[in-house]
Amino acid sequence: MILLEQVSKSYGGLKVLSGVSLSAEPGGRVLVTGRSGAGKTTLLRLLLGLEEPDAGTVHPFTAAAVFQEDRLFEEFDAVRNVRACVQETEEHIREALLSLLPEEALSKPVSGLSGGMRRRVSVVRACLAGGELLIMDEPFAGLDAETRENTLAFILARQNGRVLVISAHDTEGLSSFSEYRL
Amino acid sequence: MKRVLPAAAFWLLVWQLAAMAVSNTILLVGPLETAAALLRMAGTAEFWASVAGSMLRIVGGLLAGTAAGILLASVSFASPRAELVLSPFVAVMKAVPVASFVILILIWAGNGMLSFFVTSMVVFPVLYVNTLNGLRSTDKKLLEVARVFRMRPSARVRYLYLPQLVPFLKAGLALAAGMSFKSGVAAEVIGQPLLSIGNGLYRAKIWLETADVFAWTAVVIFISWLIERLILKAVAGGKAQAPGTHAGPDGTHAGPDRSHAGPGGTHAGPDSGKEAP
Repeated sequence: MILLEQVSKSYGGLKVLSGVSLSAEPGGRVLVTGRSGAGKTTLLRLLLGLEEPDAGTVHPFTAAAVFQEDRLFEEFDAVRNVRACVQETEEHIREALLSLLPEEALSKPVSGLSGGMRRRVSVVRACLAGGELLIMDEPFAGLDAETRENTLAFILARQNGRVLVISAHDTEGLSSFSEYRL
Repeated sequence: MKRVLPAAAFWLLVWQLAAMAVSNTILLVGPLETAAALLRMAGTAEFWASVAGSMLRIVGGLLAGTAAGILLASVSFASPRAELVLSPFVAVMKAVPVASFVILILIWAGNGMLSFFVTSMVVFPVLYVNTLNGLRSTDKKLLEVARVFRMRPSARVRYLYLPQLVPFLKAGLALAAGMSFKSGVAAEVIGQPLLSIGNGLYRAKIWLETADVFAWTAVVIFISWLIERLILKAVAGGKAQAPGTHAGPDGTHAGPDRSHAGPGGTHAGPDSGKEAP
């Protein structure tokens, strides 16, 4: 699958991406790395169709995403947050959430959860949603080593043949990914 | 409530002392005379029929104006062209004085449903502006979430728009509830429909029954407060807080405490829309 072809993108005269091409096999895993400000988030936003390239082609695919910020519906609990975006039964959603979160975290509004818990809710939401791409911008931000490991295992177990594109500073445990360095 | 009672008692005392100092029941009556007049009036069937009639018409107008404001604001939000078409109409509705509404409706429809129409016309622009501002303040980052996850329209309304809209609706309704009774009763005083609070006020003025004027006014204040509470509870179970509000074109403010409430266009709520990274 060709995702990007010779894509360039600038913001206010500052070139962020220049001639970027990206492709992956169905079920493939891509790790986007680079220093801060290298354009990792911009690349992922282009893949999601949230930015228009200045030049080049972005091939449209349906996707699910973990954004740079959690972007949750603050007044609703974790189950409702996932259910808002996912066509799954409440039982299935609850089961998936419980594999990453303690039960007491499921019944209160996500605004009351810790940063790490919120991150995991956002990961579950993306993993349970449909689409051809699974795009994750720093999905392990704010997670300790053990939680990070569990979260990564959860993501890989629910990739379901989708192309998985992750941006991360810390590449530990991601050796099965093909790296794209910006 | 406990903190309000001593303040209320203080002002009642000031009122009573002022009435005693004036010592002229045509110019000013105190709270005791007002309470006595209210008790006397409450013993008549005419009083209750007037209260019920005015309440039905004014609350009906409030609900109709609210429904029209929310509906047309939603249409404007969905279609810039519709907003362009509606904007002169809304601007006129904001600017036309209540007295002009009253006279025009008296000419067109008589006085039977006068306060219903006047109230709905006064309430409409408040709810229109507040609803439109609420919809526009929807978090742009969450709109991106809805787009990426291909959220259903019903889920967008429930999870995105409603939580954002409720504080704006509460601020608008709090203002509209107070304005509806002020304008509705004023219309009745001018239009003189039978069995109405405005008619009672007018007759009290003709007979220089100042105590009755105060008693009718107390009734309007109480009903207005009650309706505001009921509506706000219905909107959000009394949980969501109204956001800070901004001055409208005529310098009025639509705020949760209605401390600067006035007719005209109002804008409620901060712009909470955030830039995407």
